[in-house]
Amino acid sequence: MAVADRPLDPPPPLRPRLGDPRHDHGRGRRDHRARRRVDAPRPRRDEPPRAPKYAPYLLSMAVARRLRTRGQVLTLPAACAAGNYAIGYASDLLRADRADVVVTGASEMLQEVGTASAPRRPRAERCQPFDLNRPQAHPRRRERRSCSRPKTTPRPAARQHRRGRRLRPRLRRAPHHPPRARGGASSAMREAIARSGLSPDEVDFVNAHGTGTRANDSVEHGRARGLRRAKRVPVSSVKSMLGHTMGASARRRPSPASRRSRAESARRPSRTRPRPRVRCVDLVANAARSGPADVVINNALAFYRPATTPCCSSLKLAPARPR
Amino acid sequence: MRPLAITGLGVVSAAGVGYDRFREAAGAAEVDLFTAAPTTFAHAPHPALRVAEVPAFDPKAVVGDKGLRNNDRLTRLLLVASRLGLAHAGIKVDGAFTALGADAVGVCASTAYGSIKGHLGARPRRRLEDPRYLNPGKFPNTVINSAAGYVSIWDDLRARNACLVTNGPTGGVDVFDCAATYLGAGAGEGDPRGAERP
Repeated sequence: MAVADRPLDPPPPLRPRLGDPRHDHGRGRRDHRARRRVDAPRPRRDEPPRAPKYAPYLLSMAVARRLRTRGQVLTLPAACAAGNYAIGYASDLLRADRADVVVTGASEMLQEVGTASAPRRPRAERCQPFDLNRPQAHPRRRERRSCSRPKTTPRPAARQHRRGRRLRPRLRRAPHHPPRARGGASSAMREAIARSGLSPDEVDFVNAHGTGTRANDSVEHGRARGLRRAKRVPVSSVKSMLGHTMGASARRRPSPASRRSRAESARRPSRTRPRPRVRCVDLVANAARSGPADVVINNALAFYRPATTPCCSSLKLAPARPR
Repeated sequence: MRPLAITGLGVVSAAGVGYDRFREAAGAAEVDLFTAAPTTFAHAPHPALRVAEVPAFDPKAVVGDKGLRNNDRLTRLLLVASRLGLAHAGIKVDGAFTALGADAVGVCASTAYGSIKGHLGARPRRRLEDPRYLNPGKFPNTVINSAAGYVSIWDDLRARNACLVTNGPTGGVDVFDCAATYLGAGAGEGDPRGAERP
């Protein structure tokens, strides 16, 4: 699809492969195997852990074999920022004159998502970035009082057993470092703008990381201020629609550089409550907003620390030059 | 493309920790790198396997004690190797940058699976219970590039940080290619075209 989007020559077809339903004369072996995987029993508690069956680099190698490319084939894992990382490395390849055309992207297949996929979460726990009315935006009363007492496992295990409750560990909340994270994120945005030869006032839209947590909202507010614009820039995050994926969350966002998005010229919304209470940012909430979206900053955070991160990647997507 | 130059080596291998041990092993006529009693995993069920592990590996002696508790073995190995490499190249000696600034030094690392132990430890709980009950201190070890990220954090390296996933043996060559791309794109000091520093 990426090659078809650009006016390049289509790749030649490969030889028919056994098990491919397009080439196995209707036997449907692949469909049968897929159905068997879906119907497999759920893992039991005493099941030993298994290593991943396929190495992550196989996907990029398969794409390179399919396209019959001759250049570098690399896989750059960077958790939630993998998509932006891959695009950034592709831009470096072009800047270094080491490639003429680079196919880049991100994948979710081999990361075993399951942390916070939107359709599987209860309604009250869904991702609602920048909405101060969401349930998880306010600290619970128990957490407020916990400043004066330890936060880990206050009740003894024997007492929970007497009450017939299931034992579950209550872990200490992860420490976060918003000031450093805000500084790194803002500098990444300024660097992306500077490398593009633009000014912050030319940015039309910021596609935020938007995990919907208090720490992330704090970092994103700092980033919006760090942009140093005269007016507030519209911000939204489609993570509230698609869920928080690990590998391709930075790339699953609709790319304003694609032809279809430029034609629509609409800023994609974040799903929030009907009347979101927002502070500091111009949130595009619940409905798309018409307006220019030629220069977009796509933010992604990857944790190199236990909680929020001092490392982020920002990406400016500008209209493609005519060939 | 401008040729690369290797200015320092930080080696953590079965021959020992440090460049001197590596040089001695490389110059010796015969070196036995395999051990009969490894300490990192249970060797008894597989007695026919030949195992090589880093002898007397003590990361506290090189990187200190603070913060090592939640790091897995892969991260500790890479932390020690990078710290020794920076010192051997004269870039950062005794915690201070001497030759280059922090903004001009990046990390390119390579791995095949990341931390297998971290990944397998988090997987059953994530599938059977709620992912919110994962240990937040050890959850970053499940990410493949966590070791390279920790190197940047511990040594305060603020240039590009890249971790490649390769098929293992060629990873050591791929990282040089990645580093050449970054240096050619201006992501480092001494760029011939005078591009901005990251």
